Amino acid sequence: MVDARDAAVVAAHDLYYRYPRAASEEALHGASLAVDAGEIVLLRGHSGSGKTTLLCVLAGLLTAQRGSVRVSGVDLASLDAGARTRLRLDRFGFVFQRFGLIAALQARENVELVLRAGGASAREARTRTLATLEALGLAGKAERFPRELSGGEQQRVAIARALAKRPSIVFADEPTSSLDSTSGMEAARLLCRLAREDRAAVVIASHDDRIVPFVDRIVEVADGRCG
Amino acid sequence: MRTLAIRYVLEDVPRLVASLAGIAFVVALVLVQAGIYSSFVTSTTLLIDQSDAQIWVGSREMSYLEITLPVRYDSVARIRSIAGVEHAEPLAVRSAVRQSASGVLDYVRVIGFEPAGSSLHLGVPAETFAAMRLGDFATDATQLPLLDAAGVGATGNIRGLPARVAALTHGTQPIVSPTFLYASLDSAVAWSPLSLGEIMGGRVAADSPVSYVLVRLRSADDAAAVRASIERALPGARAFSRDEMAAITRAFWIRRTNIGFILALGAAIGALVGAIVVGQILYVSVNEHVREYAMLKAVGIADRALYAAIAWQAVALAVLGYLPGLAISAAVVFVAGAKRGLYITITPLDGVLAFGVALFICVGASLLAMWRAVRIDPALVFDG
Ligand SMILES: Nc1ncnc2c1ncn2[C@@H]1O[C@H](COP(=O)(O)OP(=O)(O)OP(=O)(O)O)[C@@H](O)[C@H]1O
Ligand SMILES: [Mg+2]
Repeated sequence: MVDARDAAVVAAHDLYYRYPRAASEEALHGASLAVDAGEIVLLRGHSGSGKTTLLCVLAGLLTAQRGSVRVSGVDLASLDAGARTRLRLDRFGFVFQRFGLIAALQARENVELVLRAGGASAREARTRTLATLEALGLAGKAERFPRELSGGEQQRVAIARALAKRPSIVFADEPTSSLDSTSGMEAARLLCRLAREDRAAVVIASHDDRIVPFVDRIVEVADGRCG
Repeated sequence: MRTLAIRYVLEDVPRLVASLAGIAFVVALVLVQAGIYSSFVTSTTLLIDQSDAQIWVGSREMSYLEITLPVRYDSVARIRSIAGVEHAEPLAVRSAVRQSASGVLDYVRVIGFEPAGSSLHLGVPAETFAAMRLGDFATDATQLPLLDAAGVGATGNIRGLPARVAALTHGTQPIVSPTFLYASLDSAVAWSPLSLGEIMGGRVAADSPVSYVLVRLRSADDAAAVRASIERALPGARAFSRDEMAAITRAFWIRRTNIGFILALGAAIGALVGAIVVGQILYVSVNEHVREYAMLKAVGIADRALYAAIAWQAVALAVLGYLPGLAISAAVVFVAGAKRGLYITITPLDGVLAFGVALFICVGASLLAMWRAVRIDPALVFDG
């Protein structure tokens, strides 16, 4: 019998995580979650419920004290730090609340940097970057520096950076909460639409209910557990 | 990542200027110190290098060019009679105090020789030397201020006897030695008599102590045989090859002045200060970009690539700081030569050395920044 969790692109089972310097509370307290390829999941919950922590553990940025995370059937605990880093570069895309763009680089360069680090040739990186920026409505703004872009545009550059490498999973933490509602919705809509076209799974942590229409499934997070 | 490194270097111009100034300073310091070292070392043997005598006969105990025990003047004649010797001449190195016309004293080294057919080539026409009378001397142009002399013709005295500037040489004066006065052997004896015969007669005698007998060979191939014959003929003397003579003199000064250590110490302190400046600047730069480094780590950029980005910044600083450093050194060399008579020569090898030092300092100093970067927590980028 095939384990259902092995079919999932990412599957977390019974995670416990306590921050090293945290007093007593565990940020994750028996959280389990499985996301299928191409599936878009919204993690919803109060502030402090553990959404960001869960994303970090799923992405291998934090290591749970108990429980396991499998990515396409591979247990993250079986990988060394270098291999986990490489996995993030090759398979994961990230979208952050505050965009995480490099101020000294143009929009195009921000996207290319990650593609080049992943081993793409300069030309390949350029072509894919421009195509992705165009799909996100940024065709004419590729040469702009982040400070020359609106918040919504900056977040769309960040989405381009996450998607241009054709990841298996995109992790997005509060992708709309630094934006006004119009540009926030636009960013979320484009993220979900393009990810769906590429059959990339998406895990969005957010308490922004306006994202709900774009997602396949909503997971309520409370007290470090997934409902 | 190289693009990123260059942008980080260029984004804060005042900071860039500060770090480049630090590097340029170190480069200039290293270049000038290396230049001073080689000029110093070269200058100690100028007299030896400017002679075409292949053999210097002197006392076995010779310490360096200026300190040796005497050989007798009449050994010149004995050496002339040895087979294979084309030319032999005396060279006396004596000390004296010269007083200028207006009374200024200078401690001098009198180099007494016989100008006719001499193997010493001081860049002064033979006629000029031939025309020099008792009490005339040639000296390096850079020494005129020390001698309180305006130029050729300036008068003065040594022990009450005339001591007049009759000709100028260029690039013959060792940096640390007393002023060299090139004069006839008779003048040297008159100014600074050493033997009873010299004191009584006031001129060169058979037993006059001279420092060296300079020998030119008929054929350079005979060097070993002629040296052996000379040493047989003159017990207590040794026939040094020109290279030996130069090497002993050089080694003496390097040991005596500790100049290599002193200059290296100066350069090392400069390099340390430069490394601190650059290290601090690169460290602060990482601190200012903590969120960006955290993002890079979060999205899967390996530590190795972050090290490379920081190393590229260091290399860029080294290259950009090296060029003004060269310019500063050139200016220092020019000013030292034109205003101080100190001729510093910087060789291409020194240039390569200084670039190596700049690179080493910058990359070394970047280790601190790398250490900082690697300790950045990637989860930082998730903070709202
Ligand atoms: N670096 C940290 N050190 C210690 N405790 C932390 C740290 N980060 C988060 N926590 C704690 O872990 C718990 C879960 O935090 P987490 O950031 O995952 O919540 P969240 O659901 O993302 O909240 P929000 O909606 O405000 O972003 C909280 O109690 C929080 O105080
Ligand atoms: Mg959060």
